[in-house]
Amino acid sequence: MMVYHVPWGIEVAIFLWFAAMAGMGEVIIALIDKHDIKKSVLKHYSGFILIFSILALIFILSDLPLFIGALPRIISAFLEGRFNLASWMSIGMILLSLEILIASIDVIKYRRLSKWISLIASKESFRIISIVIGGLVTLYSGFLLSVSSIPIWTISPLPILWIFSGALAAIALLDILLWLSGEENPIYFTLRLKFSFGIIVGIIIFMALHISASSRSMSAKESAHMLLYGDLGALFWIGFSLLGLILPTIVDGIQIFSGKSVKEMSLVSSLLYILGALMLRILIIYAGVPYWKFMVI
Amino acid sequence: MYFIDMRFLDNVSRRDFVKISGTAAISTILLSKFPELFEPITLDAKDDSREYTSTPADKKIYSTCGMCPVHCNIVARVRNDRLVKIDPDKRSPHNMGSLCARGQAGVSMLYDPDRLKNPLKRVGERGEGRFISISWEEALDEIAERLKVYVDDGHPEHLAIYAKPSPLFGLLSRFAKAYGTPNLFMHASVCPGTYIVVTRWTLGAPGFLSMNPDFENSKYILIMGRNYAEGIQIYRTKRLMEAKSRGAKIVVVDPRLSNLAASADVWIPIKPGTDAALLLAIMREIMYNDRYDYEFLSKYTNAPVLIRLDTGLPIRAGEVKGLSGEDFVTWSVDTDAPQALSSSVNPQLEGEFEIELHDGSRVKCKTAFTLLKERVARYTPQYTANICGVSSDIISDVAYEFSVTRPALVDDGWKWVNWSNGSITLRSVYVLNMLIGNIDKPGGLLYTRRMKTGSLPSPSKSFPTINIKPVDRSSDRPIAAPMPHRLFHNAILEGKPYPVKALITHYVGALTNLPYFSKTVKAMKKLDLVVVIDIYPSDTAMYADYVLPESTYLEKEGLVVVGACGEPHVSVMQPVVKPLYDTKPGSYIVKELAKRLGLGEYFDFTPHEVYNNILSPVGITYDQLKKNGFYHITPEKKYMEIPYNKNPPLKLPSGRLEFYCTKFAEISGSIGMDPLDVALPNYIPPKNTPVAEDEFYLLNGKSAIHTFATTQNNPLLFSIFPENELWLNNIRASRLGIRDGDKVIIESLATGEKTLAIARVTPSIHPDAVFTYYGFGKISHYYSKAYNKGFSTTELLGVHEDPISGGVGLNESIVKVYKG
Amino acid sequence: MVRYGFVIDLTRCISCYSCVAACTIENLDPSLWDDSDKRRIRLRGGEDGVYPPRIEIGEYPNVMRIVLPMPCFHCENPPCVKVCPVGATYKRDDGVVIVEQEKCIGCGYCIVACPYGSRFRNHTTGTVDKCNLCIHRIEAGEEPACVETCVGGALHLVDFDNPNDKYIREAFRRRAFKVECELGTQPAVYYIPSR
Repeated sequence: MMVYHVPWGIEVAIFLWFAAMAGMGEVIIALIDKHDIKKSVLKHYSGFILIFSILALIFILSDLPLFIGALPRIISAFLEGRFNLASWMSIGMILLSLEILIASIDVIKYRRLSKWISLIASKESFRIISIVIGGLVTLYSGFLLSVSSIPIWTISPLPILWIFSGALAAIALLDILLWLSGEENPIYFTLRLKFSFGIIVGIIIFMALHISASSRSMSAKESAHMLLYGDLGALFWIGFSLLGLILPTIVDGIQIFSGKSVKEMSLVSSLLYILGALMLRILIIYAGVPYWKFMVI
Repeated sequence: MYFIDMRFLDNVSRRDFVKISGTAAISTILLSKFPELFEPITLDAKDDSREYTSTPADKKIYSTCGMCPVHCNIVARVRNDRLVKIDPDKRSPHNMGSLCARGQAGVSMLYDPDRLKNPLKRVGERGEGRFISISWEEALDEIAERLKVYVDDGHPEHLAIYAKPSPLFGLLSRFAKAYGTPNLFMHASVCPGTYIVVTRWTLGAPGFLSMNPDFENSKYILIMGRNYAEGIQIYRTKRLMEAKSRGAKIVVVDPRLSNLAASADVWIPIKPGTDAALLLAIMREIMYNDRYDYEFLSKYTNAPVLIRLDTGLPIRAGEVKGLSGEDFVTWSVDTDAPQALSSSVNPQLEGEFEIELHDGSRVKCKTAFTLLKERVARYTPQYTANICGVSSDIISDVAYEFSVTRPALVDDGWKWVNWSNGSITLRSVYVLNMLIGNIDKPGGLLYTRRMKTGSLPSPSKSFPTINIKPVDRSSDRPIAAPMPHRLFHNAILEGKPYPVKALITHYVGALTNLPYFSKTVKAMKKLDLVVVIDIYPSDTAMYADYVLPESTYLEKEGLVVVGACGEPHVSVMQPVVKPLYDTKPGSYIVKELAKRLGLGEYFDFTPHEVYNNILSPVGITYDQLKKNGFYHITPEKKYMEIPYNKNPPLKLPSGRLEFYCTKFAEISGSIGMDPLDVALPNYIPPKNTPVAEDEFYLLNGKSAIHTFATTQNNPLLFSIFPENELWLNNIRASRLGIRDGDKVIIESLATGEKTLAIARVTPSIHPDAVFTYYGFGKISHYYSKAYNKGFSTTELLGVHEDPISGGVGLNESIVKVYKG
Repeated sequence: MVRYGFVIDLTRCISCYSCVAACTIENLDPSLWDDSDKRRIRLRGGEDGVYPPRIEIGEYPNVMRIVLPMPCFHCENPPCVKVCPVGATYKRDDGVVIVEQEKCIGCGYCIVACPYGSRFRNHTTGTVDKCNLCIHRIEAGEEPACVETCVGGALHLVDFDNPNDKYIREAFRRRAFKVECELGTQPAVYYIPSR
């Protein structure tokens, strides 16, 4: 398989995946907090969100040895006033740190570790903050790529795609936890959400690729070409489109229209959605063609 | 005493040879020479420094680059006993403040962990590459013991030495003389052979690069047989690029869009091997429009000499009634009678004359000029276009522009050994330059001004007499340059004319530079003793009994008389770091071997004696040279010296520049050709031509990144150019169903061997040719990087000897290419 | 005031890679010498900087080959500087864009932001590396390693604040171009076209 050499690789795809699930997961927790959901499910769910947030921060500063060495440098940058708030990287660090904080509070709340903190977490304002930060974390992961020299990473639908695809994966995760909690409630609200978000993601991807393929930039064209019929084509059509989007959507559609939900089917479709989200990010990262590859002189 | 390699220049009479050596000019015939320091300092390398950026505090040592034989001046920056960077010497008029990628990568070679570290002795089969480390004492003792056998048997000629004209060549040739073997070979027949033979017998100019194109003043530069952008000689490359900026038009004739052709004004993608036809077409344009230089031709060349039509040879004064002596004859305009060339005034340049001989009979004669004029008559643009595979418009444009622009210049090219018609083609180049009176004039071909230097001190004992001829000498190649391929393929393998049993090689890979790899390997396996002196565990070293690790140019001392620079130039080579590992300078190896063979008297001198001896005619001392790094003499007269006021450095048969090459005509009988065909410019089609759809000429050439086959494992250069591909014309490729990057099989019709290669499908090569850079496809597994990268050309190339110079015709092999 | 930059005369570039070799020896750790991805200056024209150049335009026999020696462009408006979270990379007063190795956290965002691929991650230090115009050599009164060694004489260090600089005048006279001005980066490297 021939791909262009891009400066960022799979670790950034994994970061995007974690960030999306952490951010949208946080939003979902805040939204369903008042609903009648089993607390043990939320206990596990909030734990996942916290782990995802931490992993996202680690993966974006991907060189792990340097990550440890980088902390003093980041701190000294803060102290010396060099910290650049105009950079999405800095904004991301702050957002992810806040996300970790909020996710920690959620974990404490659902695991009932501290009454005092649970009290704060139950406030309406905290829920709003959770939704805002969670949304921003996902959105930021799109904007991070937008300030790059790799045209397909900068097309406008990408942040929205990250939001919806992230939401889809986060819902799918919740769906899995619900099924595993062993309740005998056959049709969860997550099923309809999954189905509709799946269709939306499909539409946005169509938009994104259309924009990329008809872009003025040769690099963006080449990227779309690689995804649609190039060297990444097989992975895109079979790995992502079929297995990560169409198949689970069909499975969910069958459940919805037959009015009957099957545990195995739901689990499979949710898992495919989550892996599909990762696959999508890997594909978009590897389909990147740097601007200078098609420099016009 | 660097003369043993000179036998091919004056092979017929040794007397000539002695005469020249008296003038000391001969010592500079080699591109460079320099005895090295005999006492090496050896220390274990401590190399922990992580500091790698140069600072003003670095110690700066002037030295000379040894990555290729051009020998540029460098400044080595050393910190804490570690070489940090090599900078070009900004003051040097030789490399004009530049250094190529290879020169820069010297640091990378010095610290390459794959270098040879100590002497090795073979334990497995030849070619298996299994060795044990032994000490220097053991290695030298054992080699000397085995070399003694041949002397004791009375057959010292059983030893052959194969070496490139490197710093060590002078000492090696003294070693050969002292040992008593005539078989000292350099790589002439695969590289400079044709150039040396033709320049010697046409212009009387000695050795490598003896003509120096004056790009500085030329307005129209036609380059063929050479690629200054990839076979870089900074001295010329830089001037050429400056000429281009100045507005000179540069036309490159090359079947491939080489890097030079890519940056030239015009690329003429000529059919391989047909360059001479293009030159004849230009001559036609000049001769039939009377744009030639009458004065130059009639005064300084033998163009007006009368040639007998019955024999094709020049008529001698002794044959003509009324004249006497061995002199040549011209026809006087004033007296309308024949006259001797040496006293000729106002000769007829054109015409047919009847000469009365002593016996009263009359013979018809024509002037050489007329004969050429008749010969080129049919080379019309249309006729030439059919031969060269170029549109006739291009040919008539180039011919017209060349004939009317002054000064215009045809570069004399270099790799004419690549074609069996190379000698005649290069002759045509020189004759074309003569036609427009372009010799030693501003914007023309200048005689390289060499430095007059001394030689090695003469030994107290005289050299043993050698009564036997070198193995490559035979009556069918009377004036050929050394032919190492005959050493391997005839002498070693077949015992013809007499067997060679032992071989010492230095800085040259018999397996990587000689054609017909399978034969060469067989020869290597047949030898009784193979000693390889090298820096890397090279392919050839795999077939050695003893591998002796030499220090690199950055670890030893020496003196370089630079030949590549057009002006007299001598530089110093200084050790910039202590030798790494257990390596020794080549001079140590030669001297110690000689000592053990009882030949110590011939090497009884200290390095300083040698250096000062060599420098004494220059007028500086070695210490002065060391301080400055180099010594350059700007000649008082750069132009209009030879042949106007001085004779050419080497004597020519007619005493003038050879428009009609008398020597070639004389030997034409023994090589089985017509005298007029070899004595005058001519186009002789290559013997083999590709016929079928999948047949091509296999061309090979230099890259700007690697020096021959020596630097492929250099970490930095490897990263820039790791492996070669097969260039294939896109139209031909699509017919064969080959796409860019496909694996293809190359099958040689010359040797029958096959090899696998990656195709580079490109519009920038002539449809009849495939091209690759040579020196890849290493078989030595000690090369951690270059091993098995790319493919080697030597197995695909056959021998297509140039009957005049002995060049092997490296580009003349036909290959089949098909999808693998 | 000085404002450094390059004028690169493409008519004189013979794609010999001596600039690449000189720069690598001068500026990079020996462990990176065999890695063709880690280069401060590149010859665009080959596949990832590997010899020989292979961008060709036209059909036989009218073929043109394009090579572009690309150091860092030291843009007037560098996109890489804006994205650094910790201010480790910046444009100096003399126009040189540098990375301070002690401040860089190695996030690699600037590598992605540079439209010209001029930056790379130096695995021996973990930080980002790029052409710094050999300021240590300029300060010592020498030319940058690539300019000094250029065989064809194509690379020239110029001071854009000096209107009398002969190479700048030459660049304007011969219609030099910058690479993709519409990005708004305003590179300080001018190319004199090869024909």
